Amino acid sequence: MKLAALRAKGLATWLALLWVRCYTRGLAQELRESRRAEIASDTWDQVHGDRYASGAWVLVRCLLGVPADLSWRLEHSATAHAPGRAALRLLAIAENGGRWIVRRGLPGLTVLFAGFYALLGFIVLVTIPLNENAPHADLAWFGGLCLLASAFIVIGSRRLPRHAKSGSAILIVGAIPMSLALMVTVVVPGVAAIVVGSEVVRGVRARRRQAAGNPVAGGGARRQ
Amino acid sequence: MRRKPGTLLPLEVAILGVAIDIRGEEKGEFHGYQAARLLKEREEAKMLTAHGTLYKALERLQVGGLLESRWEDPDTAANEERPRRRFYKITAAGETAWQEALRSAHLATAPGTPGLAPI
Repeated sequence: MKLAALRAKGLATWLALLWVRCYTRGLAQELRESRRAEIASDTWDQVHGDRYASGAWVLVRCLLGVPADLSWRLEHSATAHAPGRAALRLLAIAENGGRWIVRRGLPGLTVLFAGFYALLGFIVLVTIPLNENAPHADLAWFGGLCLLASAFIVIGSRRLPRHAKSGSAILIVGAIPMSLALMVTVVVPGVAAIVVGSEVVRGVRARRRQAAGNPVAGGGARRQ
Repeated sequence: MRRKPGTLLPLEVAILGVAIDIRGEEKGEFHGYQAARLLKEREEAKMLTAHGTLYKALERLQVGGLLESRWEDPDTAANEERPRRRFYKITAAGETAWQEALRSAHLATAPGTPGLAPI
């Protein structure tokens, strides 16, 4: 396996387990440890047992479960208040959306992204007056384009098994604008955040190691 | 989400189905990732069920007494150099609930059922 793929899997696993640590924080020890151990075991099995599992799929699987994770957390916290119940209802809708995507795979995920962009475009159209000087009105075009691209992807992927040539052509026509949209709005900022985050963590660890190895120059000196 | 007490969500019925299938095998137990893989095959889904969705459903089934679980022996996991697994097994109440769910699903899709006539 290539080193980059291994690193991607490692990073995705680390992010998935970090998310588990976040939403289980403050819970009873037994419950917290049990959930953390179970997800750690599941992620390990996915990464080592499925040779086709890429880091991206590990992360997508984790992300699609976020509404269920949050509602699980709310169920284990005090949920007698109205906001808690309302939040649970909203999370249940999001959870069903996640299940819908799991059944449909990549086309489902694409529709989700396109729907988000289209909604963004629609909100911009409604809230910002349309005139020549309204720069954000471009977002509406962007949203419409994304929705159109996702329609092409869904049609193309359905057509592909029976009509390979035309199915592929339709898929490519839809994939190019959607990939560009995702690159600009999700992938590039996401990768930048991960790189910056990992550099910060590495810096903190290096400082701790330095302090542990040289107590006079580090924390030890300050304590004196 | 509001739900009638005792009713099962489609995912929970599917998990019980997986547990019933596995029951006939050597140990009759399954772990979380195994359930996700079998659910994917069973529902012809494109992706594995998300962690949050799966483990929330497994916990609900366990709290309802439809599944029971045990943690794997730490030495077994240590020998294979992997984290410890939690194994689930269907209970007698789980089998009954699964049969009930199948029966009601069959009734709902049966020809002549009011409001659910075949197309």
